[in-house]
This record gives sequence, structure tokens and C-alpha cells, in this order.
Amino acid sequence: MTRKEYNTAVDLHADGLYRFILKSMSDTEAAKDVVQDVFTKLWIKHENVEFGKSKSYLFTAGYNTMIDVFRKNKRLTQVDESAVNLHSHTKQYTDLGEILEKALQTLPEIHRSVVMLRDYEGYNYQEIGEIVNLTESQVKVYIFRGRKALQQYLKSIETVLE
Amino acid sequence: MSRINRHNYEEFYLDYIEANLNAEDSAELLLFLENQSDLKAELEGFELITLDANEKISIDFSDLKKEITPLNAEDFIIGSIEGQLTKNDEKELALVISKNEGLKKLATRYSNTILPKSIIEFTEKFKLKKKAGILVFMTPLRRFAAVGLLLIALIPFFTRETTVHLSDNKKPIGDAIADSSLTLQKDSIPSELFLEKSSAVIIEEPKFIAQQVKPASLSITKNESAVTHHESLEENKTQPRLQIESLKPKKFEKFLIIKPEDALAVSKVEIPITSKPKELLAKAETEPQTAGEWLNQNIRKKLFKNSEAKGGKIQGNELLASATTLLQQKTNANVAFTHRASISSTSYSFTLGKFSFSKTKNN
Repeated sequence: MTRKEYNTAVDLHADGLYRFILKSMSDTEAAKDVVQDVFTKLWIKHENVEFGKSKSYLFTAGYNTMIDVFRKNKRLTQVDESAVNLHSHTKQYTDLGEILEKALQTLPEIHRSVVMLRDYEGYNYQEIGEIVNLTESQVKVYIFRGRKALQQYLKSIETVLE
Repeated sequence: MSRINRHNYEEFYLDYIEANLNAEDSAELLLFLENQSDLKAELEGFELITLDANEKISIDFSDLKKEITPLNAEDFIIGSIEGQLTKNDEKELALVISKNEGLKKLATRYSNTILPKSIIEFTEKFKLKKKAGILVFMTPLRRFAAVGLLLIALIPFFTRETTVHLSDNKKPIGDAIADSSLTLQKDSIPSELFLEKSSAVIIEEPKFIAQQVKPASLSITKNESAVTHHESLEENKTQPRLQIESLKPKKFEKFLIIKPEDALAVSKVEIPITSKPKELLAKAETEPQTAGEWLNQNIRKKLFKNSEAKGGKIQGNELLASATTLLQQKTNANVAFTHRASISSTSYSFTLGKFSFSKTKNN
């Protein structure tokens, strides 16, 4: 990848990567640090990374870096910890987007990541598997569980509002 | 000799109960077991268990069929929003959903789980982009030369310069003195000479000074006994008066008055009181004020001269080695230069304060 291609990759993928990391970490500065770190890694290896694979490289490195940060901060979201306290949060929501955003935060980290990669970036199961280091079948299972959890959250919100 | 023992009796016994053992081996096995009471007791309860291939087991496989029902519709709804269903499955699912209000709500909720394309901009892209840099290709010799020049430029910053005013008294000791007092730089004088002599040099237009000088303290002198050196100018009264007064510890008594054009020459006149005044004077005259000046005056001449004598080329490591030695002698900077040569490689390393670099070259 040339310097020009690298800069093009910044234009094309920095926003998406930042969104992916930000929505996973919910910390603006930490997300910026991860994006900066990932692009630094890309630049270091830019001679060995083809431009066509730069997006995959960025998201893979971004996911791994994010996981490292989670582990370092011991903030890895656990399923049991993600129980929703509907009564304390429901009335803040004004539209479906906010509700969905909150629902997304309740998902375990891996479920959230695969759903975001699927919906935001449009990756197929195989590509997602390469990014998060899972088999295609595992990705399908996690997306299935993630969607089911989101649906359950939306259903519970509807129940409370009714 | 019997072929059956405690290590292989299971093999024979299995063949025996499956009726695969001939009569001779069967007799031998039974005889063996008769003599091994513990094994006989163990095998008496052993019965051959076989599976009945004709056993009929009834299982409901209807769940595995790809028919869409209200019970399995949820999986198909998820498959639908994931884009995994065929057109026929989509039609069938739509039909099932249309007949069930609960499935309609379920399908709506699942369709809402698709994350909307939110726009989040990373505003610091400019920090990530790389600008084109200017590549400068330099040969090793030029690199050494560049480093050498850089060091020469930096040397004044590492030298210890302490300006000592002869008059340390805050009060004016006379207009003439205040206007024309010279300063000496400590590094410009050998330390031994610096501590044992002192002088006041006053430059003045050729006119008589009638003002009496008040006593002034001198900070650079220690408790050494000042020696007064009088130099009478009475020999030539038509010339500007030249007075040299060695400074006593506490006060000035006389002045050296010279022409302005002679100031530079007079400024180097010192009054040694050591046993080897001439040598010290000569040393003081040749001593540069800073290491940088010293380098300019001496090292480059010597080094270049020597190198030219050897072959005309200046080696960068020679320059650095000489510069290091002189810097160590003339400054208090942390300077080091090492050169290691072996059969296979040659390595150099240079340190100046926090700056350092090294190079290894295979022979």
C-alpha cells in the first residue's frame, strides 16, 4: 500500500472503524486512542498490506486492540452483568434509535461486535469470522443470539410502555 | 506349555464366549481359570451384551423439516432479516406471519433490531494521514561530517562559561571604572593562573583622571596576598598614561590607562605571581574562551593536517574521537566515543549528553 492509498484508507474507513470502536467501548477518548493505534499499526505495515485488504486489517486490528483494552481495564461485559434495569431507564428514551442503542450496550461484547459488523459494515459471516477470529458457524450463532436478545429488549420496553 | 496367562486371558475369554475359540484352546482356558480362582470369580458374572439391530425406536423428526410453522417461525424471521432465506421460504414465512398477530409483532420487533446507519465522523483524520517527507541520501562519511558539524555548533551550549566581573561592588567606583571596566571569562584563563593573579584594566581616553577611586571588593580573589605591580609611565609622559594595578583584596589604588586601540592587547596582559609566569602567560594567551573556539583554532587544523598527511581523507570516526577527547578535557559535558573493531565487524558509538548514536559495519 502506498502512502496515497494509506491516506485514502483513512478517508474511507476511519469513520466506520471509529463508530465500531466507539459503540463497543462507549468512551470517546479511548475509542480515538484505539483508532489512532490501529492506523499507526497499519502505517507500520503498509508496505505489506494490500489496499484492498486494508479495511479488513483495520477492523481486525481494531477489534483485537479493543479486546486488549477491555482486558486491561477489566471492563469486559458479561452476560449476567448486562441485565437491563428497565424501570430506571425507560422514560429517557425518545425514539427507537436510542432504545436500540441502549439495547446494544446490554449485549455481551462478542454478540454486539458481530451484529455491528454485520449491520454497519455489511460484512458476511466469513469476513466477520476472520475479524473476530471465529468460525462462520459461530458467527451465525452469535448473530442469532444477539438479534434475539435485542428483540427481547425491545419487547420488554414495549411491555413497560404499554 | 500353556499359552494363556494372566496378561492375555481376556482375549481368549472373549473368543470363548463368542464361540470363536477351538476346542483345544477352550479346554486350555478352562484349565487356566480353574487354577486362577480370582479370575474365575471375576468372569463368572460376565455376560455378553449385544445390541439388537432390530430394535425400533420412534422419534418425531417433524422439527427437522423445513416447514415454517408458528413454533419455528422465529428462526425463519431471523433468517429473513439476515437475508438467508430463499424466495420460496420468504413467501411461506409471509403466509405464516399473516395468519398470526403475535408473529406480526415479532417480525416487526426483529426488523427493528437492524442497526440504522448512524453517521459518526472521526474528526481527527488529519492526524492519521501521512505527508510526503523529504528524503536525504547521505553517505556514511557525510553523516559523520554532519554530526561533527552539529556537535561543533552545540559545543558552546555545553561549555561552562562564568563571567566574573572584576568589580563586584554594586556601588560605582568611579565613572571611569564603571564605564570602562572589562570582564574576564573564567574559562579563558588557566585555573592556576586565575586564582593567583588579578588585574584591573581601564581603558580611557588620554586624559588625566583626577577622581579618587573608592575601595572596591573583588569577588574572584581568594585569600592570596595580592602583589602590586607598578608600571610607571613616567618614561614617556607624552603618551597616554598606562597604569596597571594589581588588585588588592579590598580596593583599587591605581589604574591602567591605555589607548582604546591598545585595549585588546592590554586585555591579555596578566600579572603572574607564580614561579613560571611566562609559561602561564603563554598558555593564557593561547587558551580559547570556549571549547568551540578551541576546536576551531586547533583540532580542525591538527586533525585535518594529520589526515592529509595520511592520505588526504578525513575519517568521521577520527573527527569524533578527537572531538570527544577535547570535549572531555575542556567541558563538563557527558561525552563518550567508543570504537570496537573485530575480524567480522567494526562498531562505533557516540554519546553527547542525551544524544547518542551507534553504527556497526560488517568487515
